[in-house]
Amino acid sequence: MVRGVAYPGSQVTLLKDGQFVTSTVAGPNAQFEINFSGVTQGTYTFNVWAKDINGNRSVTFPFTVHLTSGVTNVISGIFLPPTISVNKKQVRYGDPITVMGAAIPNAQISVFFNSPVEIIKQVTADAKGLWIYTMDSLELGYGDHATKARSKKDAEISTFSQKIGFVVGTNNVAAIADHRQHSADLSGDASVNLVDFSILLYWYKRPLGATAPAGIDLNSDGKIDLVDFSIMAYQWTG
Amino acid sequence: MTLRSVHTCITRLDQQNVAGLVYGISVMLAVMAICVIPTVKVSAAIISFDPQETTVGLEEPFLIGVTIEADVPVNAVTLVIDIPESMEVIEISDGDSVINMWVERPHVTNVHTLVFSGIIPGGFTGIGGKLLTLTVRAKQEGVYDFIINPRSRMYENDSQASSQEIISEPLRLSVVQGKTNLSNTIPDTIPPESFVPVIVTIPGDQGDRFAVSFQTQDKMSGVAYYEVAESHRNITVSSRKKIERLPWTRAVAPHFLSGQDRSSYVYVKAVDLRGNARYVKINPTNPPWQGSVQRYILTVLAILIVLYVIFTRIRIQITRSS
Repeated sequence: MVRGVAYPGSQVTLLKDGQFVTSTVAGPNAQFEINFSGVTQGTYTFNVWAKDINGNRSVTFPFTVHLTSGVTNVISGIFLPPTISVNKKQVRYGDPITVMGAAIPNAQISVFFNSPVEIIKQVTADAKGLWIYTMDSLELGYGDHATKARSKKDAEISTFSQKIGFVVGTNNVAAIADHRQHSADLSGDASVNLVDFSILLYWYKRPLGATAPAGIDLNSDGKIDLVDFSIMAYQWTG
Repeated sequence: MTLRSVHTCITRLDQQNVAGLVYGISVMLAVMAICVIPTVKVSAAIISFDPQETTVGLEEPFLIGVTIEADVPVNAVTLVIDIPESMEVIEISDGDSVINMWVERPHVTNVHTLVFSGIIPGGFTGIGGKLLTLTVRAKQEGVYDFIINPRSRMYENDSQASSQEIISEPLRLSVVQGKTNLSNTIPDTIPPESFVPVIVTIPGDQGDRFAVSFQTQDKMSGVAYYEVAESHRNITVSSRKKIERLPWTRAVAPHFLSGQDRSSYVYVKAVDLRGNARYVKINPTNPPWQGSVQRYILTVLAILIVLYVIFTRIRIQITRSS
């Protein structure tokens, strides 16, 4: 049994050793509970991730546990970090940029901007768990920036969300809503799993000639090596 | 205090050969002082050897575990272990390993190194995460070191695959004659975990081709190998005798299918180091019976047409003759 909190109405997915086990929908209070059976005794790596009501995906929450057969193993206290997205991938200097996402209802969200000096802003999620923060780009200055967030409810503090990059420049460029979000989705089926792993595995250490599929070199360094597999493992959905 | 600083402290304490109690306490205090000095956080993972014993008997098998400890999630590992030439690795077990998907399954090269690469989707954080268990036999008396080769690599579970520093200590083993080692067989009567193989379209030099891909774990002795069979026969995977008669071939994922028309059932067998097998089946997308029925109908139609023609001619001849 796996228990924790995600976002209200979000779809929560559980993976066991990288393979999809089941998914459930979190309640209005963001709590979820997943029951499954049929595991033998041993060490398992589980991953939990969620997709919020706007289709944005959380980072994966991993945990490795040793399960004993014949007893009910309860894994609780999973606290998914907030989802995060921005409305512009480039913002004109002086214009605002909006950062938003989902979290536990009424959670306190800390939004981090990595400027020369890190800037941290606070915002509170609403009763549906949605949060939004509008940042004045004057505070950030020209150049490449990134933002990430974490949530706090009572005494619990989550880990960080993904880091989203954006640029403060001379004009505005809207961020395209891309719910696929996975460069490692080589098969284009909106998942990163064994199928994509197998495609990458075929090209592992092979010369990337003209016949190599576009986008297979995930870090664009001209070869397929363990770095590409690491990027894939980070984006893994099961 | 970082994982690295903790490890460094422990190592220093282990290595002190203290003659007297006073000297020992003073060294300990000095080391503790070093420990409490704030250190710059370095992202690092510790690879450790976990031998059953550090003094082993000649020609007697013994076990060495290889484990990982990480304070930030590690999701990809390439490990190269230098094996002394006088040691023979007789079995490599990935049983209960935290590695979920093998990029290169563990194997010993012809230059006495053990090599493997794998990933852990989502990453591993914690202590004592098992990577492998080696069964080794010493062929010569003496003192020998197992060393993590500097070509080993680890990557953090982040969007850029940040490289992680690897901290390790060599394993020093003394080999002596006449010593009986501890029990070293990993018992296992349970087949590998159930798994779901997938048919993958691999874009490659020869165009898009169908392959079957598979990956599973065995929590006891570890997965030894996989086999694949293709057949038009639909066999229940629990029919052990029937399924064993299939034309199995050793396979490594992704395994290209010989029947690219996808009219065959594809069977995958995962076998652990003790011979326990798990069988799974993938149904064809163009079932063989579809073609058979079409052929059957066409054959019957052709026979009926021929019979009709013959019957008509006979009737005409009878009519003319009468």
